[in-house]
Amino acid sequence: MTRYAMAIDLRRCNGCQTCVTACRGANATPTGMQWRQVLDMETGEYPDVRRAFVPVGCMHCADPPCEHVCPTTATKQRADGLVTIDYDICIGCGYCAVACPYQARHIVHRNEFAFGDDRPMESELARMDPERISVATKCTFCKDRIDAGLERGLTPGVDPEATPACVNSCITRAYVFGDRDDPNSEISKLLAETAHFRMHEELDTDPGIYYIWDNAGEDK
Amino acid sequence: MSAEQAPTAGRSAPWHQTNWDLRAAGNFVFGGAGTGLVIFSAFAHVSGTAYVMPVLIGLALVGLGLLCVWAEIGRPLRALNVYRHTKTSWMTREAVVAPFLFASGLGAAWTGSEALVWTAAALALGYLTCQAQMIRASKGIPAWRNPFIVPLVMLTGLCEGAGFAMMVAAVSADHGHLKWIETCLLALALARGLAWYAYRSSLQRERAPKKALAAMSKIEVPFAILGNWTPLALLFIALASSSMNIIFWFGTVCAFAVVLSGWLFKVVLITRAAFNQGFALPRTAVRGAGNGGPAAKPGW
Repeated sequence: MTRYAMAIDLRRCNGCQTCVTACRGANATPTGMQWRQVLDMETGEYPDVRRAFVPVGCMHCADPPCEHVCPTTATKQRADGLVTIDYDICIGCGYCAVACPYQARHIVHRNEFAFGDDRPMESELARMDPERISVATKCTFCKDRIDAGLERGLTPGVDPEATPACVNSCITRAYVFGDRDDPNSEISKLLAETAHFRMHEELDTDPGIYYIWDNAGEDK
Repeated sequence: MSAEQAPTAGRSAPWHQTNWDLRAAGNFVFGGAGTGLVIFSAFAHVSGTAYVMPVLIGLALVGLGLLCVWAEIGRPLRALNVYRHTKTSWMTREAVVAPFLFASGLGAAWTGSEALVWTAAALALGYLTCQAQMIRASKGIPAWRNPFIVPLVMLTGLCEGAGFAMMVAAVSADHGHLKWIETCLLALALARGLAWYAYRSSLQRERAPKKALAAMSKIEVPFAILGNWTPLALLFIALASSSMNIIFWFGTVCAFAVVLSGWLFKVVLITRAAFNQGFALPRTAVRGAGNGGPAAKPGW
């Protein structure tokens, strides 16, 4: 079986937001909507204060609550683990958005332009997609790139043409993408040799994004 | 400055969900009260009191709730797609129950069939269950996914049904049965009060965002004290009294208080207390030669 997953090395991420920009460019998300976000979290108490940059988005859970609650079957889970939305079926009820513990789902009811409604850029007009208005949208792990790449015999996570835009764009190589069930994939090897966690694991959604925080050790 | 007070860029602490607003709350407000009233209509039918009007009012309330949902969804012309996922979606199940509830309720009002009244009552209970489970299945909202929300929402709906039944009986001068309804309301209010404290203590025990807890604390007086325990005490007095004036006025005031407080609770639950999960780090990353930092869960 294939289970696409992502590993993000929190030791490497410097919060440059290139992945956010790459995602917006690749997916033409409307103004104000970011499928990929990088949180800037300050934690601790003086003098031990820390700052963490944490990329977040759809976790493509193995047990996705959004899919369970969706009344229309617009949200589906593919055999390779990707959670998808059929924009032609979705009614925009927002139930998936309140069921998602990762705040990964977004609904906008009108298209907004970066410089105001009366000043749309040509690129915005060209890439505006009315089908994505008033329905739920979220990170797809760039499934179109993955599928197109697979058709050409490419390997997601190895070949950039078959790899999510955020992963390709990362300037520090904090992102690694691939098949978690393939022991020879880079992500499997990386997860084997590092200490990592997943967001809100206590909720039993089996999320598909792993956050690396240290090298593997006996106490980790 | 503690970790919880630490400022964060972007939103990592829980914030208000904005996908479900007053329109969504309207479904639970009117749907709960309407189904509760339909259930009480069946008992009214057995006890020989007027039931046609309560059934029709109950169905109208349920319909109003569904209208609220229809106004909420982004693509209302595709609303029938809601029927596609009975396997796991409580929203689909609610939608499946609705037409049968309307058919049996209207049939009961039209024909006077006892079987149809009870069928409508059973379907109303099913509808109410779907609503409660729908909230419970919203895993992204800690105040909703708590298991105690199911009995609390259901008991709130039943209380509202009893309250409406009392009002209808009062208006229709069917005063002979007020004591019977008051007894039911008293028992349901007692159960609702206990469910409220079980829910709140469970929220505190299993943790929820601070702002969600604060939103629930704010309705302690209007919901629990004025809307539940005070009516409970007044109902005791009314039931102990032989004065029809006291039975009538205390019962009517209590009915209003129970219904309005139940609606307040559901509006607050769906809107004001609906803080999402936010983001958390079980560990902060190792950087440079240092060690990893402690966990961070802002807003909790």
